[in-house]
Amino acid sequence: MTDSAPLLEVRDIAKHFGNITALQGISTSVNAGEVTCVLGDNGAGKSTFIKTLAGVHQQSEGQYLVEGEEVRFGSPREALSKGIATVYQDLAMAPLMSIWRNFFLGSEPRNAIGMMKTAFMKRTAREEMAKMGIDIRDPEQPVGTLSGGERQSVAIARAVYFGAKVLILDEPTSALGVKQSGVVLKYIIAARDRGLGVIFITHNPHHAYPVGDRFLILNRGRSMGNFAKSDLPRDELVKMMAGGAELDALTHELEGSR
Amino acid sequence: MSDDSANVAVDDSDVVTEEVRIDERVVHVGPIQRMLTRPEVGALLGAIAIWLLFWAVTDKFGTAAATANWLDPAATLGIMSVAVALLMIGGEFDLSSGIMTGATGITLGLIAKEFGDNGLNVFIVVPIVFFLAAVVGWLNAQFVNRTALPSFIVTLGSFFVIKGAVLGYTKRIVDKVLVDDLDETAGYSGMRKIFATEFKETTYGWRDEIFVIGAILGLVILVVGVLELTYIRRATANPTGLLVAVAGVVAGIGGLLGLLNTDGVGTNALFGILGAVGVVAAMAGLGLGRYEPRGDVELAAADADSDGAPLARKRMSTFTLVGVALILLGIALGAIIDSETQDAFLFFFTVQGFRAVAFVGLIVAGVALIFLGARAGGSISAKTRLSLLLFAAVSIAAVAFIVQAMAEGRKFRTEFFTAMLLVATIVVGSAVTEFLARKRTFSDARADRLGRLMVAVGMVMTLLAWAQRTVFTDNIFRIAILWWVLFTIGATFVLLRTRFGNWIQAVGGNFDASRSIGVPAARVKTTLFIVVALAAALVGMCLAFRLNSVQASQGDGQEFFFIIAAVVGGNRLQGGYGSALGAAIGAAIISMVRNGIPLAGWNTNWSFLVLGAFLLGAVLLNNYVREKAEAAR
Repeated sequence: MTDSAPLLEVRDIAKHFGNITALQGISTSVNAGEVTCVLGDNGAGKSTFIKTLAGVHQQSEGQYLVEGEEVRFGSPREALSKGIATVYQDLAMAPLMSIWRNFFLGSEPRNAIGMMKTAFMKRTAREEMAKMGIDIRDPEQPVGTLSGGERQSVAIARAVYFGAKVLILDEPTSALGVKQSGVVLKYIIAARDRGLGVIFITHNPHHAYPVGDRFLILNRGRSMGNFAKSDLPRDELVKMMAGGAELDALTHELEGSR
Repeated sequence: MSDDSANVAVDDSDVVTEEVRIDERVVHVGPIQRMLTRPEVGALLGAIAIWLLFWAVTDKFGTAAATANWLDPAATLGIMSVAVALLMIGGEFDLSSGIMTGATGITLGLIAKEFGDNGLNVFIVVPIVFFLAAVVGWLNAQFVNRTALPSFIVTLGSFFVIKGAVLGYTKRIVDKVLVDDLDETAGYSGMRKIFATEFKETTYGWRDEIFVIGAILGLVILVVGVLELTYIRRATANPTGLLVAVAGVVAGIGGLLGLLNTDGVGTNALFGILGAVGVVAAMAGLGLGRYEPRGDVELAAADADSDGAPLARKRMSTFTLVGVALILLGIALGAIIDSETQDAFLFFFTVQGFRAVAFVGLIVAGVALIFLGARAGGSISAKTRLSLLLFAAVSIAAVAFIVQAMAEGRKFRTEFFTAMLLVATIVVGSAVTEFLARKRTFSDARADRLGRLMVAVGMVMTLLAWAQRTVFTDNIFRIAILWWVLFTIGATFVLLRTRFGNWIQAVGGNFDASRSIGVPAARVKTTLFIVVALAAALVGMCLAFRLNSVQASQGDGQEFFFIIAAVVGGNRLQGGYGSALGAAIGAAIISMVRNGIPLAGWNTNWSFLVLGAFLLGAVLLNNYVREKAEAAR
């Protein structure tokens, strides 16, 4: 492992399901303290791509490197043990349970006689949320009473606390309103500033551009490019996402039919 | 996430935070509000209301003998409802749990009496029965886990399978539908000690003294604990205040002892006043002596700077006035309830029945309104609040005095009077303390720990004092009650303080999510089904060794009462939320209703109507309390 190696890198990754090619020739990377955005329309291969990164699928071709070392994950747990945590859209939380119980769910710290360290858990949940810039008044509050953005932040804070180096966020803003989306984007910045590599999956270029350092654009399982922010003006990104030439053609078609 | 990194993090912050005792970032939630967010509170209030109702309309309810009568069935029902509640929180049902209490007993009897030539020693059979029960639970779980069908339909199937098997085998082996004369089996008397020992204490010299002293001390500790949780402690104590408090405690205890040991209108009034002054002085003295005084500026502030103040004050005074009026009406009705001459039929449509229901209903509604009024008064000045609370308390006390002067028997003249007076004086004491001392708005770990400890100790002491007074009479208490209490404590501990309890709530609350985050969801459910089956075996053994015989149909249909008790106790039917303690209280409620109705001389046909109404009421109340609890945070 060298200092210059990115935290996570994929080179020419492909994924086949039987004779169907879901992904072909995808390359990108994320460094510590950077955000890589993965953009694409529905069916572009975003889910397959993150499931491959998260260890749910294994790549059929190409190289997957973590800190310069080639890996091949058999399960999400293996990916997790390498510090690659995925926050899915459904967030994996029980709405009627308190924040602190959800925060430690599945990894509850216990004392010598098997009791949970409840005081420590409540305190830590609050402190970790504070580090993300969220002040929760009462860790006993049920998660279901939090707003969508706050719930995202609990899931992100949880992943960070349990030693994630790379955070994969699966469409965290897709179900949220404008304001809440802004809140989540702030947490992405907060996680980045704490030295994590963030992979942010979205179909909204307006959410991606302000936070991203690198953009991977997918279309029908293929890469339409892997750009650094400096090489890609905002208008270009919006145009590529909107379908560019395809949209122009559509506009013609719609106007022509009038 | 590696285990190592988590452990390291744990050790680090344990060191850091011991230094930070007072953390201003945490909003301090007052003891009352904290209590209201617990799921079992609704059940507890319901239990108190039911107890009051039957206490008022019968002569016997509330005596030790009647208490023993309803505690006994509550124990076996309670063991099951607690187990069923755990499973319900985990998101599943077990409809075979009722028949299992009979099936385990029958299995015990058949093997112990008919195995081989002379049967088998029950010390061998009982472990076998528990093992077989665990297997049934495991099978239920496998069906549910592997097919992902609703447990409702799966366990309905196993219910009929077990029911059929029990009937078929019993008929075939002993040619009857029951197994009797269990006492002929080897080892019977030894096992009976474990499952059906009967306690009967006839010597109880210090019973009443222990009750009075224990209950008073317990209440004192409880009240001080609540104060400790509410107010800011002074750096150095104020000796004058503490002196007043001590004098108040002495006067209060003297008054209470006098009240309970005499039974005349005049002496009651005298000791009542002495006790009331004592309680108020004790609380006010403590407020002055131990806690930070409230500045004059703050007292006037709320009225001046809040736009909502006039409205809030109006609402609060309306609530308080209506609340007081309802309580007065309720008490007046209660005092004229004549428990001797009541029509056994259609009780609810008689004047007595109406009075009885109105008595409890009005008091409960009145207390609720005063409470709501006090909360609505958040933005009114301390002086207005104090005067309104004083008005409420003084009116309650006044009516208590009038009632005791008019009442016929000792029940209303002394016992009810003492209780009402105590409530009124504690309201006055709290109001005065609130006026004098400054409320804590931040978290103080030391005060919180001390306060919570005192609240817990106070409650346990009061409960134990009451329990020993109930136990030490010539009534029979069976060991099942002990198993019930221990099982409830154990289940509550597991649910609130262990990793497994966390998993139960998570699996019931969001199955897929908990599995994806690493909770062994299927294993959690399997364990819960086995726990229910083992609880059924325990209840089966308790009943078999007590009755000496087992009917094949025993327990059939009881599963719905287990579920009703769990739901009445604040457990969510859909899973993910609930309380083992609540389920135990729910069992007590059902048992009180079933025992109280015949005692009151009402037609027992009404008991299902009452139970059904309770179930519906409990579901509504639970919904309401949970919404409030979540909104209040």
